[in-house]
Amino acid sequence: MIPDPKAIIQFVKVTKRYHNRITALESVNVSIHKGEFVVLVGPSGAGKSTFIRLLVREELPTDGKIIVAGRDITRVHEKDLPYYRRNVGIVFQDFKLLPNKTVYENVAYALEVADEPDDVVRDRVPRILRLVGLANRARNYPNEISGGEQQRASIARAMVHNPKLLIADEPTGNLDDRNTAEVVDLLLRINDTGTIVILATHDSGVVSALKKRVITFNTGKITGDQPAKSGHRGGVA
Amino acid sequence: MMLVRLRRIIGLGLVNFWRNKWMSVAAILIIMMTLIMMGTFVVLSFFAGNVSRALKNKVTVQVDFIDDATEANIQDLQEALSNQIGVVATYISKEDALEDFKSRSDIKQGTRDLIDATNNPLPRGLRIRSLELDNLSRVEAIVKLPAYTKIIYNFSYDDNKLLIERINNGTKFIQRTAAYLTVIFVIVAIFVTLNTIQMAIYARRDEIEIMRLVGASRAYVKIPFYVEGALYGATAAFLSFIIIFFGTRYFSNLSQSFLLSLDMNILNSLKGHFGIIIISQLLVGLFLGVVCSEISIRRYIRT
Repeated sequence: MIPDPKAIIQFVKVTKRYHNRITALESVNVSIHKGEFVVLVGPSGAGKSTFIRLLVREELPTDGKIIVAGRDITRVHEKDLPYYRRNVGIVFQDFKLLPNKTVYENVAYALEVADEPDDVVRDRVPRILRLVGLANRARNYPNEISGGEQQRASIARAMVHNPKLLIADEPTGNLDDRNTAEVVDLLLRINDTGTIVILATHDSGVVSALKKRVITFNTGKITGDQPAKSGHRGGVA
Repeated sequence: MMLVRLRRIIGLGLVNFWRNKWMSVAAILIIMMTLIMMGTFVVLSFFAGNVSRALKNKVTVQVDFIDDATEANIQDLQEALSNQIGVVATYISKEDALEDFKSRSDIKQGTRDLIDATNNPLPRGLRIRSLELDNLSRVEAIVKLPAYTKIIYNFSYDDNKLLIERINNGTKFIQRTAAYLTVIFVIVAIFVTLNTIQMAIYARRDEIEIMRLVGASRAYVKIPFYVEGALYGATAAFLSFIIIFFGTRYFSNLSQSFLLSLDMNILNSLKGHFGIIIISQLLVGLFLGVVCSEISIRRYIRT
């Protein structure tokens, strides 16, 4: 694959095999550009989650390069990983909030680990909580709020340090229709600010309503890459 | 910035310690068990040492001389014995022997009155005290040299040999067994502590993964766990010290009645050592808490 200088994220012939037997991704080439909203679809085990795990450097590819903002992240030293991850926001299907911290503390944690000063934390956390509609839940623990609220808290945590890339892995998998619509709307608003959003989902309703670029995975390969329908912001009614 | 980071990291440890209350209580109790076990063995071996020293001090053997023995012969034996390390041989003149006899309350007054300074059949002797009971066999070897046997009328070691050996073997057995048991119990207790903290951290492995994924550095993830571990250790050290202190006091009062003849009070003799006991308990507690946390957390921090 020819290097794409305009791409912010580029997978070059990326292969991931587990125990040298199971191929989760095979020679995947893909470029993602500034401000894009990309939807990853495909059946379970098709490679979407592996793609995401490689992108956040939870795992290393067996072969190939993953270039993010001009840097091959497969070569990032372990001690520099936290710095890379602070530029990436991640939202999971099971929210992954810290159970012993309040909503406020969960969001603040992402700033504190990046050594942001106290006044920045005090200013930014309430603002992002208002943005996701959780201002009145700041002092609650995750087990005291609904699934939809937990997911919004996890989006707030992912967004609070203004990352250039937001990755959402099945963020609506555990949510009802109303909460799904709210979460998707939030992702679109985040994308409107220029942040790249990568959304992996099973929900065909979400995919068709969004009208964004859709990359289809099947048995570890990309079998389709459908561009966004131009001029459409998308959204789930 | 460094200060802010330090404050945040320590704050996280303190908050986690408080919010994971039950986990903290379990870990503290387990470390406490280890420390109480170690402390009890220290106090007991201190106590056993004191008792065995007191008993050994009470053990004396005596050589009585025939009337024909010359002062030079006696002095010769006294010097030969006193040259042995840890052996003291005190000369008992006929007058001393009489004084001792007169002051003995276990002999009837009538019998005591039979003897006085003008009619004193009591022999001269040497009272031999040895710091180590093992040395008595060397004392015996010297006393039984042909040069001395002819001037000796009675050697009390012959009568008490069995009893002395029993005391000696008994105290040695107790000390050795206590040392082995201490080592075994401490090793078991360390493994139990490690296991408890491992389970506490295993229950929170997801948290560690989340912390890493939102960009926390290794130190930011690990140090709060160390702080928690240190708090487990410090709290356990403090509580176990209180228990050992009051336990020793109770035991001391209880034992005083039957140890009166040995004139010893464990609490008093331990008083000067309480500082060292609490400091060593604190150090062992902190070591256990922090090192077990480090060993347990290591496997969950890969990337």
